[in-house]
Amino acid sequence: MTSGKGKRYLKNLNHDYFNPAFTHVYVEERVRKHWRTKEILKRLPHATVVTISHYKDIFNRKGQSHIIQQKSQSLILGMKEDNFFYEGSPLCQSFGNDNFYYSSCVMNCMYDCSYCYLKGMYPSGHMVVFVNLEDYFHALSQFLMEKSMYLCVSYDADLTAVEPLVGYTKAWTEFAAKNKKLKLEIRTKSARMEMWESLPCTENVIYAFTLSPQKLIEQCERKTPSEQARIQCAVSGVKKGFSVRLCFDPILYLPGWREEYHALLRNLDDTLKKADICMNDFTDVSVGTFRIAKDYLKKLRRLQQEEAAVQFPFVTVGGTCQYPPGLLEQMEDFLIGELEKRMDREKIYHE
Amino acid sequence: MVTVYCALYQEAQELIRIYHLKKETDRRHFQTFSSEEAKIRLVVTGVGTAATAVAETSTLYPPGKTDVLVNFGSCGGSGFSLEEVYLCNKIVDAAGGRTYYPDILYRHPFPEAEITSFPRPQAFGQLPKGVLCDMEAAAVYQSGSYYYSTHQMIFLKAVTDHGVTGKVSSLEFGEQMKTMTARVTGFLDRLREISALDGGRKPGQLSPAWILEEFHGSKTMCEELRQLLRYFELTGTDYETVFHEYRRSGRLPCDKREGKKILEELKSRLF
Repeated sequence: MTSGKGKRYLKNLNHDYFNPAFTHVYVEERVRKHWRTKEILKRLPHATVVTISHYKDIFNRKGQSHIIQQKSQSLILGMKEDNFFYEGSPLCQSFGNDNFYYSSCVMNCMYDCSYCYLKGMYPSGHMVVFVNLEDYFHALSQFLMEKSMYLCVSYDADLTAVEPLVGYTKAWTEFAAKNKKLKLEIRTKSARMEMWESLPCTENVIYAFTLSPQKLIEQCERKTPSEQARIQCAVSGVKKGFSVRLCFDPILYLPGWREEYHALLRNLDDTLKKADICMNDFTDVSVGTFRIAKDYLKKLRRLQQEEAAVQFPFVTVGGTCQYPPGLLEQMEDFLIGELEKRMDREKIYHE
Repeated sequence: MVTVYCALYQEAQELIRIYHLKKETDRRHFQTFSSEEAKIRLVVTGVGTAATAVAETSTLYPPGKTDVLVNFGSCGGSGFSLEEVYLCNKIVDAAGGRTYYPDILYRHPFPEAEITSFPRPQAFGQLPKGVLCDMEAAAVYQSGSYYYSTHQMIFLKAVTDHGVTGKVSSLEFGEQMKTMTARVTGFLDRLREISALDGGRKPGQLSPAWILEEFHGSKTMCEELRQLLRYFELTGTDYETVFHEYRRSGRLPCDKREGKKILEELKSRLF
């Protein structure tokens, strides 16, 4: 087949029409006087503050447009009452750890990745921050008295990306530094070099950087830092002694994917060489192709009819949509093969 | 299209004049004025019948993804400056006790405020402090939310009184609203621009109908084909030539068995 007819329809809802992010902050009445609410509001001095009864008054309204809201996100400050931790999803990697849980102290992301499951999971594009983080810590301390925990705190948001506003990466890291039975993963697509100066360096906190080829970032990962910026930030973390994980997950198909991922690995090689470190200096690496719950994909496709990444004709296996087996194997084998040339096999996770 | 709902004619008349709106003579229940060129429709809802007016108009003219509903009118406000126009970020229905929050995503030049909609006029001294009061915003939101997304409904309220003190002449009220209408037209023009933008394609607009008509298979197979064609379209892949070839070689129209083969062939072209 030849390419050429490509009708890429203009997405011409000009950004100038929209308010910048967080011009509006909705605050639950009961957390209005919470010290963290005051701190966050201090960082948004020009925001319009609207008092609400419950975060769901905004977040769960009917008739919201997640995609349009993402162009001008509002912030919702609320209180989490229960379910501070959830068992890890079978779609996520546990890296061989027992007691795999994840936590949602922030819901929704300031980045706008077209394939992100959050668009399928949440009814709103606005971001919720639960200000009672200490209640999470209290519940966690109780749990840790009995057993250890592997906890991912940055699944339903990119905590590091909103660090200047919320400060949760630091709070979680400081808590983990005092609780060695806790192993924390903070996943991010951000590239905030300055974070290495302010965070305590502790072995049981793993900073996991999702790496994608630049072409894919431009097509599907709106508002995220470039490939090079992410690599630089991850490398800088390793140099400073932090535990850093690289995630080639999700690997997404795009025409010419092999060349694009090759270029990404070459870029990584060059940066490592310049920094005088090697792949084995990373804590580990994860590899996984894009997969998503069937219901979430259905919603993603309805919301983003012009996004090729979600309109790919996936196959459904046990309620999970994934690439056809042939393509899936090709992509994973390629990445694993390339990584094996660069690092020990036991540091490469693939489930 | 921007559809403006005003309770009274006096609130609407200046907009009708500025945008050269023409009366839609076939509307029986609510006075409606519009201009296709200006991309504005204006409906005079009457007092207490706003919800019906919104429902009727939105059913007759179903809004698209970039269309906007504007509720423009007068309101009372204790502690507010007279003749100031506010954009409402919180709407309380005093009768039903429910609260609504329109999304404020578009840039606008107005101060923002909360508004409470009462079922009857509130006398001077009865108005709650720091909150605007009117009689229709909640009804417009309730009804509009069946047709519009939360960011497509905008509530602009001009403060004309601090509570009812006596009878205001129609002429006087019209003059007051005229001044305040001038303050909202710049913003309305931006909304008209937004509403004129392409709201994106609707499902099923992608593939040529003949392909789906000549492809005979189970419902699942047809869905699979539709998804494949959508993906090919988005990636700029010329699938039509392939289907013309199928037609020339007599493989199309096809039965279910041949359809399966065609599907497999198409999938193999994915990567």
